[in-house]
Amino acid sequence: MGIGPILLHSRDARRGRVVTAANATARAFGIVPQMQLSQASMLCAEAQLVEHDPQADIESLCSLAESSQCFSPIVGLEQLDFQPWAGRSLHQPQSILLDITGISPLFGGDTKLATTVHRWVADQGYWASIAIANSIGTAWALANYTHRSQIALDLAEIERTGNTQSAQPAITIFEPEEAVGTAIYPLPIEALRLEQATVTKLHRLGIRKIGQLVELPRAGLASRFNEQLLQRMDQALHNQYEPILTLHASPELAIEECLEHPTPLRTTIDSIVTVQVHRLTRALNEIGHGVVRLVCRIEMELNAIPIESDIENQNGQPPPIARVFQIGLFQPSNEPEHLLWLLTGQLDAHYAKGPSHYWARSISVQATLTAPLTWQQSDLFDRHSVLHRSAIAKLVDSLSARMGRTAVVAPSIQRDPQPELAYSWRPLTGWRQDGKSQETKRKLARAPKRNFAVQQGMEPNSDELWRRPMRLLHPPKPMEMQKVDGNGAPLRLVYQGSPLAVVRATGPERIDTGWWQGATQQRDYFRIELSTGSWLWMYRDRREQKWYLHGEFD
Amino acid sequence: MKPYLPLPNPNLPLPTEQPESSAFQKLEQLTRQIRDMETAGRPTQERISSGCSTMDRHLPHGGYARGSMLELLRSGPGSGVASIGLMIARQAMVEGKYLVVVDAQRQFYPPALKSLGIPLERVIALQPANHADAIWGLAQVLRCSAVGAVIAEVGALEDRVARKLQLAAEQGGGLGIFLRDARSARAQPSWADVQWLVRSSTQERIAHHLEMQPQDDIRWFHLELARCSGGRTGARLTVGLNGHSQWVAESRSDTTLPTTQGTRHEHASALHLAAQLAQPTRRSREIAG
Repeated sequence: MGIGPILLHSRDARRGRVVTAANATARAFGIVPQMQLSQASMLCAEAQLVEHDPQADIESLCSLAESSQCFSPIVGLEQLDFQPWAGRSLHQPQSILLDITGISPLFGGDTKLATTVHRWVADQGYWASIAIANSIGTAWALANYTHRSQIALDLAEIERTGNTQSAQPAITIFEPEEAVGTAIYPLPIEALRLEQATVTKLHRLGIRKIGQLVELPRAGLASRFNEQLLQRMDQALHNQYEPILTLHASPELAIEECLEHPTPLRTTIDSIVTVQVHRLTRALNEIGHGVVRLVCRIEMELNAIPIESDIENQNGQPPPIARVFQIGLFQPSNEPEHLLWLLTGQLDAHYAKGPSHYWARSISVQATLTAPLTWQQSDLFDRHSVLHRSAIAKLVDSLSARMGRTAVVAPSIQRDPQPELAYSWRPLTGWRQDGKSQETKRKLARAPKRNFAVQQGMEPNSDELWRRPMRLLHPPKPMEMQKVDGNGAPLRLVYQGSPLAVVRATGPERIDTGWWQGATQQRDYFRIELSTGSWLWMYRDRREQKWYLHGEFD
Repeated sequence: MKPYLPLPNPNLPLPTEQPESSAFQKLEQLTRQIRDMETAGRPTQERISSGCSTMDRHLPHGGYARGSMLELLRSGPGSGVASIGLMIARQAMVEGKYLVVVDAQRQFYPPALKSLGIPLERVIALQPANHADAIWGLAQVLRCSAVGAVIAEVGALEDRVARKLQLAAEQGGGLGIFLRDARSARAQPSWADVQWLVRSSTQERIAHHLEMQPQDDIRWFHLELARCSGGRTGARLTVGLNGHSQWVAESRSDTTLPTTQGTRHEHASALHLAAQLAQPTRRSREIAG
């Protein structure tokens, strides 16, 4: 089963809608990132368009990083520079870094560790390129550029067949005794994480591979290029130390307990979690912070005693499984009872599935996002919101804990003429209320805030109640129109199987989306009153000449 | 915040120190006492006005009780129950209270909510994945004191579930507004305090009925009071909702039964004034023309 071409797009202040990412199937049509969406849709009209959500990207990368702590205690995301790197279309972290010093023997060697990690990532539905090396710079270059063309082919194959089995895992392991030259020198200079300006300059000098760059005199490079080039060369070629900025909490905000014997008992786990949460809130009290996001990890082990020889011999050794329970809060809280109650809800959902062969081996609780407890009153006379704030916070927390973060949402209005894009739902929990982003997410905040001019008529207006329906159907439902008058207004249609007369049609309200927004929508909207008293919101697609039901004035 | 009302002790004899009054007054007094006993679980006896004087007139104490449930029955798709429900919910969002929309189908359209004058920063939507989550969430939300109103689409409810929701609403003091299909509601008794059957009317029919020109931006509804605890059922009224999110009441409400408060005369004159206030220019133009 194949996947069609998919494009992610975003709005650029100057160029309108541009492609931010395209899957391998779409790239086969010649679509590349940063291309204008109008051009892209000319190349491939049937592409599925999805608006790019950088926040969702970073959320999934962070949660993958948080759960990959089953392989290493030190996990972080790559640190971005101020300018995006050459060869990258998005200015956001895309790699996870694991410090595996002294860890690979536990998995039976580097190769087995890399294979296990690859299989674990594939189980989560991702396709990763993995490299093990002595420094971050080397590993980054190898992971990003060794198998680049192979990965593109693999991905195209996976998208075509939907089968991940046939593709070879992209794993590179750099042995310490191996000569740097053979592995790194053939790679393009983009593998050094350089700015586009530096890369362009080097290309003009005819330097495309790292090998060519190394032959140039160092003193000359220092005077002609910025410091970053030399630093990046040192990091990739000479093992210069580079820290991993860990994603998880500082040691005092993370409490872990390893059990001597694995246990299947829920009561034991509960009591350990209770003690840990109490300790955590005490630690947080000292610094005056409250929890905004809490992660509870329970590492599982198959209910059998692992034998050393088994690990050596078995190729299909089950990967260590960790269950990760995350809770996000509406506002920082430091009450252990409240946090425990939220956690218990999630544990209940997990243990309700019945006894498992996997027993808990170690339990850890950490506060991955905290914020100062003092809540600032925004308005002197805003007494009522203060009054209800704690009650609503508890309500939202408990709803999110059981139903999931994405099920408890707040509306926000977007300025977009296309009705289905004029609003969005935003999860209420897990954000810092003061608007400051998490340490690892701060780089995203550097993207300039774009202030579009207020366009009249796009904002919902309290004087036009009957202009927009209470319910919007998505996707719009095709309708059968029996009779239309000279101005294009409907007179008779088939609704729910029976032909009905239109008593009144108000319209048309013509909505055209710009050519720069990709697949152009040209619609004439009518508000229709049927003889039964129902009010409907319909449009005629002027390109397809078809009628659609888009909403109900319910 | 008002103090809780003490629960009347049923063993005590009814107070008799009042002077002898007519049988009608006696009956009124007894009705009130029964109502107080029935609603003793509610935090306050405060009422939420629907914002529409015509509708309020048919409700005991001129409004919906805090901590009660209201059902709006839909006669067909697109008949306007959500609009009416949200208009009432807007009235319940006083003192910075929140509105929760339980929306399993993810169809509620926020721009329309904003057009209704609902502050979106105090709107929370629940988008439950299944029925069990929806019911659980609904009970949690009703129990929360910071929630002024909950609006939810419900189907047939089990008695146990309905009773649970009723108790939750009494505890929290919000108004539960349930949108239902009229057919599903007819099949089972309701736990709601008030039940309106909503029919959307066409402009032409209304214009003929009211002997006036059809107006583009007013939508007319026929409401029928199907159930009203502590009041009288069967009342039929016609109300309009104009494009400025204001109620427009018509002057010739064909109420079939006497109302609990006020006389027909007051009723008619007040309504006439309300209609004039709502659409002063139009009315004067009509009178002049």
